[in-house]
Amino acid sequence: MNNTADKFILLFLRLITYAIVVVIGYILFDIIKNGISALNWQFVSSFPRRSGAEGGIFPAIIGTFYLVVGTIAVSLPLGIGGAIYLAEYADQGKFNSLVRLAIITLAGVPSIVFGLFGLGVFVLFCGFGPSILAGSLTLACMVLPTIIVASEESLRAVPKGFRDASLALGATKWEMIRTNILPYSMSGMITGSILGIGRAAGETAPILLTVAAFYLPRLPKSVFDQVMALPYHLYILATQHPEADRIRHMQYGTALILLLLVLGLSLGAILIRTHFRKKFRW
Amino acid sequence: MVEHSIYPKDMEMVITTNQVNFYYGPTQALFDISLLIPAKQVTALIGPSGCGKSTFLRCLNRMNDTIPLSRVIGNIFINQKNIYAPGTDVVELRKEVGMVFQKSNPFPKSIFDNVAYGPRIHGEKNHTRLTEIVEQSLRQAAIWDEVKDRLHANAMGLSGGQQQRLCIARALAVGPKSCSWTSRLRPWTQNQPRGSKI
Repeated sequence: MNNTADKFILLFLRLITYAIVVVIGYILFDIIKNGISALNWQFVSSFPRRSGAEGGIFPAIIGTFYLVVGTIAVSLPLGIGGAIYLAEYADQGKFNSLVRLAIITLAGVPSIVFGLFGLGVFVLFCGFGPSILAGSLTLACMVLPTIIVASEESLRAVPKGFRDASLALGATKWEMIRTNILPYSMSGMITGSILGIGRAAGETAPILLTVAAFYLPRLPKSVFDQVMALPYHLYILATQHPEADRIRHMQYGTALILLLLVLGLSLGAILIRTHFRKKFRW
Repeated sequence: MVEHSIYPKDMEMVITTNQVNFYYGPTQALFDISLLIPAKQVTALIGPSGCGKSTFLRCLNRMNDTIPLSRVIGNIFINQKNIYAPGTDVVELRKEVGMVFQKSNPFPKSIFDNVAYGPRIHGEKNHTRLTEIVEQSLRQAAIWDEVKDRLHANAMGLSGGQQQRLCIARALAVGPKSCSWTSRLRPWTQNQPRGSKI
């Protein structure tokens, strides 16, 4: 009897797991099947023409690249700094539980709200206008909770023995963190952060109001310029373009490039993790 | 002060504790500990597991400070200095009062980097000098011959006993810089017999 139940549970769990793979597999298959025909050197290296119906998506690739770099530059130091404070310095008092609660709540805020926040604060109040700077800051706000939570977990995972040993050898608290906590938690912090940033790279709503240009066939000159971005470009091509039905291959091609970019980021995360795992194992 | 001492009157004492009480939150772990510990001697604390030997030792270099809600009441004098006096430099204290933990805890770095850790954070950059300290410390901990050919291998690959001796060497490596008496003060806890040596 128990044995049958066991087998049933196993079968059930296995089916659920396979179902996830099927969904991802289908999405990938569909995008690759329809997008591969659009992919060529000209598509990724040239500027769009006729509102994106022809030509390439080069400025959108560059735009998304700049946004990702900007987001990393802003969110990584802030997020890791916050995580170090929460994991190593903050006590378990009321105020810090409130901070934690705020971070968790922030993680659940819909991305369009971040977009509106960015529009209000960075674009209008700070006067950056729709720009790479405003967009990066908005995206950074959005990924901060992910980075903080992932980094804090990873800091807490460092065994107490390492901390005790450092302190007992006469290290100050910061020396201990710098020499015996950060190196070991780096892989987890970077991996978690990059996965969060990869997710942000594909977001449309936060950049819609803060940076993304509908059609801008030139490259930005400074961080105060608007740029095109892959997810927004895809959204425009698929829903707003007058010839949306005729340019499916362009849409699929853009989706494929976006996927490849995010995949590249994840791959980078995996490489970093393996590197650090090999270096510090315990 | 302790009135009935088993030691001769003129013996130099390095550690004196006076009615030390220690609390983990509401739980009291040490009750009125008054002890004299002579210099240049090996003193052993023996007792059943959980009786507070390690807690007491952790009071001596204020490692218990890192435990939230813990409290020490009473005085501990090391070299006539009250280490719980306000304004005591805890980092300086821990440099002088080395500690090897019951559970070996080498860093996941090379054997060399483990032993050189203390001297390095205290500002020793000269490689020749570091190499000397590492060799001397490893010899003192009786592990030099076993590891001299693989100083740059990861310390996590050592056996349990070797790891513990490495931790002893690592604690010793901080010593030579401290005052004359402190290099004699190296508490560690050992598995056999279950007790703590000072």
